[in-house]
Amino acid sequence: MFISEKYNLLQAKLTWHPFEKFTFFVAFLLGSLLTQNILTPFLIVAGISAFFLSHGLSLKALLEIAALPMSFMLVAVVSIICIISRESFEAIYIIQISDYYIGFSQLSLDKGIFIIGKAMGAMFAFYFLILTSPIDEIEYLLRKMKVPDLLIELFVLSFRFITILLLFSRQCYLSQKKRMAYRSFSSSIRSLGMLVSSVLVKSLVHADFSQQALLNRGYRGEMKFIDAHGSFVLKRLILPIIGMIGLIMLGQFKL
Amino acid sequence: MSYLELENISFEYPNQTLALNQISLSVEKGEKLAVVGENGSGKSSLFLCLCGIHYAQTGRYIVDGEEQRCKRKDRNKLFRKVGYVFQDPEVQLFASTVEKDISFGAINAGMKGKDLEACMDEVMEMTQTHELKKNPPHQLSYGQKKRVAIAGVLACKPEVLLLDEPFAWLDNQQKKNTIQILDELHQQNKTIIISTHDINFVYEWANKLVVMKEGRILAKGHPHELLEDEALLEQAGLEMPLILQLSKKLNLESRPETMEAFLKD
Ligand SMILES: Nc1ncnc2c1ncn2[C@@H]1O[C@H](COP(=O)(O)OP(=O)(O)OP(=O)(O)O)[C@@H](O)[C@H]1O
Ligand SMILES: [Mg+2]
Repeated sequence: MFISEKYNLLQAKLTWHPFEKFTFFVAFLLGSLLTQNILTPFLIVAGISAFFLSHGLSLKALLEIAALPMSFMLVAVVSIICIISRESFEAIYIIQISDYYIGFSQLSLDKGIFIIGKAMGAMFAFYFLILTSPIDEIEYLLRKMKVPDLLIELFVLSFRFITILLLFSRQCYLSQKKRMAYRSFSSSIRSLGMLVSSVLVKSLVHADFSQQALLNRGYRGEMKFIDAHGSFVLKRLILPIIGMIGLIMLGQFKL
Repeated sequence: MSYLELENISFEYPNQTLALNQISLSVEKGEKLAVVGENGSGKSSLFLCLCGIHYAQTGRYIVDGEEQRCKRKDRNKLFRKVGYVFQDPEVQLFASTVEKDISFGAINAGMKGKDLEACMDEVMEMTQTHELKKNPPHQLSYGQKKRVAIAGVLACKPEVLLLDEPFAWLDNQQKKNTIQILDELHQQNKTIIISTHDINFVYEWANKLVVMKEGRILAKGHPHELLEDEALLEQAGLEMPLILQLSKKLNLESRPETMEAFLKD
């Protein structure tokens, strides 16, 4: 399932207004992207982790979500850290393979760590938003930010469809598996093909019915819902905005 | 004239299955109508025609004195009057929370502000969905989804409510709650049309019964009379309600109306 569902214990507990969460998110994001030093992203990651832990996320789950972007981040960073050259250079570690020198220097190492730090900071900012805001609040934010209605409706409907299709494909997969469809390679391929085609047909039929159901409830090309997020108190923006300015300022120091 | 009037309606799916064959039926306001028949006999197709999602190729359909033609305007008006609760609640729920989903129909029906809140409250009270209102639909159990689906249609305030197998997959308590909702609606003089396979429920609840087979109406009338007709039951593939079977076996003179009354005697 989605990461926001898997760890949604935070959602139940946070009763802040969506805008407040969003401003915090922007503060963390800008703080980590505009930084010149490694300290700010480190503070952001540590702060968000402490926040998660204090709101009931287990350490294991925290490490799990932190490790999620790690794999592709490491691949990218290795290519920055490693220096391959024909001439020897001043390095912390270097080996020579025939004509080439491979290794990393202080400078490249610093750069690599800096980039990892920045990316982790931004990633955690996203986690902060996703884990604290249910889909409904994200929809609210999009609406308030005047994103075109068409896109928002697309977003809402796709999310709903994806959940249904995931559920359906999982059940379908299990029922195939229980009937020994995935025992050999050739039958696995065949079963997978059947799974995909049945999911496709199902989604078409489902879309058809859904549209009928929408029409029956008076849908005429416009989706409006009740607005359940009370009005917003501007005072509550002060803290995140101070945080934002503080983080950006802190990021400007070269350590 | 009756509230809903069908005259010789025939409906064929694009793949040439004749799902409804010369159906004539009239439904009064405030009636409790049950439609029974074996699988594939055309119950769902009939409902889809009644609420204006499908249009019959031949025949006339009159609602509240107005003949329905395949026009957009007609259709939108019809949707206001006839609400349809799908057999599968999954196709009906689409918004990101239960509350939003229920509000959708009410807002489309033109409600705002206080009216909207009052309507939402009433509907959620009736269907007991208050505590679910912040949940996203995919985190609900089947019975809960079903309740939300009913609430979503009730919020549009239709005069006629069509329910396609409302008890399928519900536990006993949920079934009782659903029946309670139906009774409440009946008291508000709404017309309720149900398709079901639960013949005992039909015997106790309905005041009009339609028996279908292969797209035709085999018989219509009061369930107490129709369900005693063994030849008809045989032909439609139905079973006799338990009460009738028992009172026949016991050679009772009277026919008790409900199981409760039967057990009391
Ligand atoms: N979308 C469709 N396209 C083509 N044929 C269909 C479609 N839906 C239903 N049919 C056919 O129309 C006939 C009537 O189906 P319908 O769904 O109305 O039956 P039903 O009485 O509701 O059955 P059940 O008790 O199983 O719900 C069936 O023969 C069915 O195969
Ligand atoms: Mg059906």
